[in-house]
Amino acid sequence: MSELEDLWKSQPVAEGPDPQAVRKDAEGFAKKIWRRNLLEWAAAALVFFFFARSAIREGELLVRIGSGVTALAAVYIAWHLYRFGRLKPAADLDTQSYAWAHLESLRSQARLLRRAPLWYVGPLAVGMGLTMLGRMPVEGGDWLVWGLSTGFVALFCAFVAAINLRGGRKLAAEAEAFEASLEPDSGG
Amino acid sequence: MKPARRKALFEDILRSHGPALQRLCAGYERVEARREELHQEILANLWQALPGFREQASLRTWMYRVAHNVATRHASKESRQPKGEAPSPTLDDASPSAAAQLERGQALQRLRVLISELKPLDRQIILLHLEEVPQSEVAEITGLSTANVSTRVHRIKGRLAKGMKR
Repeated sequence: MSELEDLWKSQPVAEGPDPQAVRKDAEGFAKKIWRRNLLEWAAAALVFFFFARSAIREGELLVRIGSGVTALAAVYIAWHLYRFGRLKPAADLDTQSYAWAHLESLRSQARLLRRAPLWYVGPLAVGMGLTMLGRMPVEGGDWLVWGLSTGFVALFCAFVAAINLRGGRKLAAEAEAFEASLEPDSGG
Repeated sequence: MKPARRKALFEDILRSHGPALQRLCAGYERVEARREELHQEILANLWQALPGFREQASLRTWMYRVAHNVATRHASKESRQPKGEAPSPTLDDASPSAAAQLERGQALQRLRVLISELKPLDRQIILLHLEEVPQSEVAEITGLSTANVSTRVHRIKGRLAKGMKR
């Protein structure tokens, strides 16, 4: 054994963890992910049913169109997340293939977040905007309540867009740093 | 995969390769708390991935692939954080054996720093080499050819030896 191997293997290691505790933690984490996904789907379903109901029952045409657009936006967002949001390379790929797949996954997540104003906030904002326009008070109506509600919706959309853009920038920076650490031609 | 088989394989990994996995974490993380976090993450991922183990490769090869892939992902995420420094070993006892121990501790820390500064692929190769994994198996884990692994081992060892002498 060489000096380096000897030195490396001489380092003290802690007593191994209890396998049962590790299994419990791992399964707890998997359940947490499952619950988060379920919550996302439930939220999309709730938005869809609420606005679809308004689209059918409301009297004002603009409100009906706005509600319909919002309901469709909820379905589109859920599909988009399902289609592009869960790219994760298989954990047991050889490490070179994994590294490139991980880079692609980082880039794809960054793209998804940076484009959130288009596929996420945009469709919802259009639907909500049309709904708010349809609910604009007629003469003598309560402009203050309408103005505050509209302002709140606009601010909320801007906030969601901003946090997604920020997350996208961070992931893009991580992808760039990771790519710099990879070697372009390390195949054979 | 039957639950009993999954459980047996997992226990086999912990029993036969537990210390190697801890050393692998030391090659990726300098800060003890983050190292422990990485260790937990690797074990949890191994447990989750076990049903996909098709026994086409040896359990060790499969385990090292998963462990290094999780560590690579961890290192990529941690690159957004400032790099931490491990505390330097100190001398509490003036005896010759304590001095030798301190010297060994410092050398080990230097080696860890040098390894953590390597590019991911070189780091994987040297960590596997230090665990005495045969080069043909390193090739299978990394996806490189055996000849490429051999050349790289020689080059990295030279670089580490030079770094240790500084």
